Amino acid sequence: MAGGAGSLALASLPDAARPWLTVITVGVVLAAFGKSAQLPFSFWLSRAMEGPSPVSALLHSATMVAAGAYLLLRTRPLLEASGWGAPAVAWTGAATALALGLVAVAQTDLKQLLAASTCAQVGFMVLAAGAGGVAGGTLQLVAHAAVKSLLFLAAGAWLAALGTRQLPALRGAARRYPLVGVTFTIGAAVLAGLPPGSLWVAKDELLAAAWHDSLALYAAGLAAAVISAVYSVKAVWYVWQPVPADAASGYDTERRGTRRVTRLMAAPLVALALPAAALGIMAAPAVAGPLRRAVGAAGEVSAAWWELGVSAVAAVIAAGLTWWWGARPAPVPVAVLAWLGRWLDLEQVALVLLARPTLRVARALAVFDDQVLDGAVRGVARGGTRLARVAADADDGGVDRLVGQVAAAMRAAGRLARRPQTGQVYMYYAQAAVVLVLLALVFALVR
Amino acid sequence: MNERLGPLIPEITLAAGAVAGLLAGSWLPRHRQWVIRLLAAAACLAALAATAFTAAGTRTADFGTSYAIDVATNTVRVIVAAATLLVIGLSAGTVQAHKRETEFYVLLLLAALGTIVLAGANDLLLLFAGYLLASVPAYALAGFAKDSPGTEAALKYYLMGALAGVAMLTGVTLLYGTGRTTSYPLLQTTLGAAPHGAVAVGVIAVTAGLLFKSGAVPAHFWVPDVTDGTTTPVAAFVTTVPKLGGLAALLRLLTVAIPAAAVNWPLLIAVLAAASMTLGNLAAFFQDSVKRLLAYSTISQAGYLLMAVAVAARSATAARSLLFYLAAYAVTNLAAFAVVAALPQARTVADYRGLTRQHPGLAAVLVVSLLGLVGTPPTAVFLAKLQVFTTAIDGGYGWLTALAAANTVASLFYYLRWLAPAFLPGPAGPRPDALEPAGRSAAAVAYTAGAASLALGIAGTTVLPLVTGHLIR
Amino acid sequence: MLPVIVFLPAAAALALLALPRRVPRTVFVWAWIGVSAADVTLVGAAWVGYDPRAGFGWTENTAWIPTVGIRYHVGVDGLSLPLLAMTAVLFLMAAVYSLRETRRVRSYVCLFLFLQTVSLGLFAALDLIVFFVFFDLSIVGMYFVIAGWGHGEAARAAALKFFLYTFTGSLALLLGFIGLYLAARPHTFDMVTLIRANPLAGRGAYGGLVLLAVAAGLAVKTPTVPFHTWLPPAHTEAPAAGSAILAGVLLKMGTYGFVRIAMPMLPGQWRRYALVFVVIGVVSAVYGALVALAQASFKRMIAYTSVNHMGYILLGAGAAGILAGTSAQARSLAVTGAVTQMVSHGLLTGALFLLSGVLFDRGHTYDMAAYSGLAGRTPVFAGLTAVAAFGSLGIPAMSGFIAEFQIFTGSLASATAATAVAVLGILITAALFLRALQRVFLGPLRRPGTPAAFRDLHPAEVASIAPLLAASVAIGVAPRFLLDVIEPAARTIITLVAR
Repeated sequence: MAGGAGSLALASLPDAARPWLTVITVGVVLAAFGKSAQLPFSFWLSRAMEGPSPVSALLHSATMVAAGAYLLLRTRPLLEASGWGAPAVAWTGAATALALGLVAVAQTDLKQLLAASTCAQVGFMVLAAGAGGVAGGTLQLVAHAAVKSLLFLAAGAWLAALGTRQLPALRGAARRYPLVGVTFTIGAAVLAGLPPGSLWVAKDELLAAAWHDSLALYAAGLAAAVISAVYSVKAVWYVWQPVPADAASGYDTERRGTRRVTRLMAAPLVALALPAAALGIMAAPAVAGPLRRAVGAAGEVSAAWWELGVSAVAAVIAAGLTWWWGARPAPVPVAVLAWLGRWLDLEQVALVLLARPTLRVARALAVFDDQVLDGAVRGVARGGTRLARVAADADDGGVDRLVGQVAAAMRAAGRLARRPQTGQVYMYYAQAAVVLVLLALVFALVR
Repeated sequence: MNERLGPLIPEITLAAGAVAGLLAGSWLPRHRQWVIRLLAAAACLAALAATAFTAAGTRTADFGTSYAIDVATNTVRVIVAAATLLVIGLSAGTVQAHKRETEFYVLLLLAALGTIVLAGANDLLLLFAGYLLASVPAYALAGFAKDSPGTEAALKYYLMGALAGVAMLTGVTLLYGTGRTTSYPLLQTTLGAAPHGAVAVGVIAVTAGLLFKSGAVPAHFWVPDVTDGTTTPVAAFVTTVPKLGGLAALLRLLTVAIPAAAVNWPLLIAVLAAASMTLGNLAAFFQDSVKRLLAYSTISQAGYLLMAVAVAARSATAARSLLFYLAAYAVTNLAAFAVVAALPQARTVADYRGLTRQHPGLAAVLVVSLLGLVGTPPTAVFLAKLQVFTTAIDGGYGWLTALAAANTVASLFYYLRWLAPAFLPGPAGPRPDALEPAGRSAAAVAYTAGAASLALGIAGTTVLPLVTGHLIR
Repeated sequence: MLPVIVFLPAAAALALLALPRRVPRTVFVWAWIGVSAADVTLVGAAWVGYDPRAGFGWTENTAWIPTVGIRYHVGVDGLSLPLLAMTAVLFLMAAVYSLRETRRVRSYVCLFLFLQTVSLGLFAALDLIVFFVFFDLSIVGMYFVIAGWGHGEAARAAALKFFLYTFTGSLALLLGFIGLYLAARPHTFDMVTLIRANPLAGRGAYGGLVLLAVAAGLAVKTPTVPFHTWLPPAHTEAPAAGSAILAGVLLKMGTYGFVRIAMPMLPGQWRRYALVFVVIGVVSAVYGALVALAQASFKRMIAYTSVNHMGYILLGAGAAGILAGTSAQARSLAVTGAVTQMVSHGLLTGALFLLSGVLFDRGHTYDMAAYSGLAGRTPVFAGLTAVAAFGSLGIPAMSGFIAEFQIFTGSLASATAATAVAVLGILITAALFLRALQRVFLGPLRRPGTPAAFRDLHPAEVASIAPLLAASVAIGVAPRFLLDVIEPAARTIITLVAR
């Protein structure tokens, strides 16, 4: 309003005058980043994993975290009008997708992995908003919602049954509970961007817009997509391992597991797996056309067939690599053997060279995320509390004490005022006479 | 020379009542002296009725110009008669079957008469005569109980009154000497040419006497000692009634007799008002004795009343606000003293602990009268203070009003200090028999006065036109 | 209609005093509930029958003391009608809550009925002296509530401090009123006439002094920093229903005075010193929130949040006086927000104080460190407290958000830096409420060592607290019904201030 926009309608925001336009843009962008756990605000999502899995499924995958990206998608005209808003948003989205993807790879807790993955996936939506791929971003939002909530519910089912979220301890969980395992795998596969999953299509739609914007942006987006495959498959790998002999020692670390997955728990998993898998149909022009028109992005670029192909291949390769890599902490010489096999094409070689340092970088980034970024926030909170105590002391000691001093002065004055009343008549005479003479003198001499 | 007795019927009624009472009482046995009480009450009522009839007429001056009959005199007549009536009711308990009961009532009537004469005097000599008639019976009343505190009180009252009276007479002499007349209207014209210094000293000296009657600084020293030493009905009388005459006389003297250029009396009165209200309030802060607390409170009330006198020259509404405040103050002060009189064993503030439980009616009157003295709406003093503050600001004495407001807040402290124990539940103070009531007459007077205070506040609209008017010049 | 609304509780009090002492105490409380319900119905009827575009409605104007220019003039408009409604509702809720009161119930009920008349009368008053009379009587009534039904010896000291401090303020206010009266020709205390006449236009120094006196008096009652130190002890020592009325109704008398008296009657002076009020508002908001954050006592913490909320009102009112760089629409929004905040704060903080009364009733202490994990034992109590706390920090879907959003939107253009600082207050308030909720309700169960079980809310308590929160949610979700009444009056105020 201060900028003269005239109303609070989203459509009227770009009409605001500078410098208010900058203020509005900064406000909207920061709000969206915070809500969607983008860099540098991502750590909260990690901590939010302490809550129950249904909550994570709803809020932290489908609805709440996506709200920030949704806001950016809706205020795309504002971002364009500000000039610097769109590139900033796009690059932040890309950076988040990259960095948080690496973080996800380094996780050993399943829910943490899913959380970091959520940040990264939402980063794609943010990237889309900044690059102008509103259709792609919307598609990503819808698809990711189905997939991620499925994955969280599955993780929750295993947590309820086995009492643990740790990937090493969840070895063989898919074998013990096949329904959960299968649905989880479906979801993870879609998440990895494997065709014909919906996320594969969605990512390509928005990467097409990024490609239209800048090549570097596209490259960053693609790299992030690859990483998403790595962590998705990593999770799947663990749960499909054979159940180890000492499996029970890793169970019940979070809570007491019930060792059963009820039908109520399983039903939503099945219900979500179907759309997760089937939403890939949105790539078909028959569906894509009306969808584009519905979000008002009829004129945007669409993914070319080669783009779809590139991302599919990248995802598959990364998935395979990861599956094959398994839980090994360091490059294993056996890689030489497999390397001669499937990975002779150059693309595959490049990916291999990236895998090993990727893990190390991922782990470093995880540490950075927790200690530096979150630590600054904790420091601010401590400073605020100390300031509050200082203010309270000032209030009690300063302002209130003044009131007390006024009261004390009045008390002293009261005691002083009783002194002249001595009870001795001659003193009364003296005082009265003195005052009267004084008054007479003053008023006689002064007109 | 007009020497009509018609306009003076109220005064004559009181005088006749006093004389008749004295004569009749000499022949009545001791146990029948209550008849004189009735006679005194009848005299007061007759004076009230007579005033109501004669007040409808226009203002006149009687006996040449030496006695003024205008709104101030009529108002003081009404208030003094009503106050004396209440004091008669109040004292019924203490003085009953006393061997000199008649003299008590006669002295009351004479002091009341003197006060009215003081208020109506339009001549310096008549002023002094009124002063004496108002003071001397009061000296005797103060020592009526013939115990040592009463005797001490009477002597202190007399000595301070003597000093003030001497000062007043000196002032009268000086003013007569410089003005060549004792009549107020003529003094207005002649004092302008007189030497400034002598006039100033004269005015201050006469004012000193009137300040003694009003109980204001610097002639206030007698108030706490006399109030404390004498019986409660007499204390109620001497803190209420002489003030009425003294302040009305001061108003008349300064506005009618003293030309504005002769001496800067507004500033003088303003300074004295400030000193009275401040000293009275401060000294009352830690008083534990209930009667001394009320005494200091009356000193501060004198300060507020003097505020209206200070701006009398510059504001047209000063006289009205002063007269209304006098009425409000009289009825509220008497209510407070009536509660004290109704509970003669409770001498300190702590003795009033648990009053609400034992005597809820008296507690209610106490709240009404004490908060009334502060000036909480909807009591009469609130309306009066509102008027006086407005008048003072209108007359250019904003600083005085601010000081008065601050003093009003400060006065809350000691009134609440008294009220708070009254509302505490739980065991009584160290002396459980402190709240023994003393018969019904004092309580009845308390209820009447409390109700009158509230009524005057709520129905102020009907009373204000009655006290609006100008003084005779 | 208005005199009936105002004086019905007092008449009921007199009738109850006439009843013999042996009547059981529940009779008195149910009588109070009945009277309050009747009052709420009547106010509702007045609301329905009021046309917001017509200015003052339901007016009555009779002479009281014509020689001094005092008339008994009452009426409502868009500013006072919501406050009248909030007062009626809050007293009804206090009555329902008091079903659990056991100490000297007869005097308690009569005193609160008296306070009810006084509070309703003040908001309906259209004459300065009528306003002042009710203003002073509210102080007297609340003094007796705190001193007589407070928590012990400290209650009397707190009551005395409250009385003296606010009474001083009221005397300053009286001096300001007298200044207004004398400046008007002909002399009058009538609010409508004074608003129209704008008597102090062009009187620089004198007008400034009058504004100083009026503002000082109202600032003590509101309270703003630095005149707020009477509030924490008064609240901490008062009984629960007394605190609810003190925070919900009495504090609004100060802020209402700013919008009804200071702004329309002293427009030139208000514009000149608007920045001062903005600064005082912001300082109160942030300072109040910071000090609240440091409190260990639950009730004292809520008391300081009142200082914070009143600061926002003053920010909005002050920003409405700054004409440069903003539009009439924004300034009107600020005033609307300020009045909405008055209503919202009354409902929410009233509920919070009743809840703190529940806490004290069960555990006999307000110290938050003595409690932990209560949510498991008393889920209804935890739920209602959480709703009230979130409402108080301004969460959307409750009235606090509507109010604070309007204030900030309206003030940003004209008082940019101040509004930006004031938003910090929201952040701090969120932190303090979340911390309090976490400390008291979450975690392992711990409660002060009382042998009695820590029971969940009694039906009377739920019936008194839940409607207040429901009303806040109703305003937060569908504010049109309230804003339709306030907005015309706010626009009028803006026009008057810009004269």
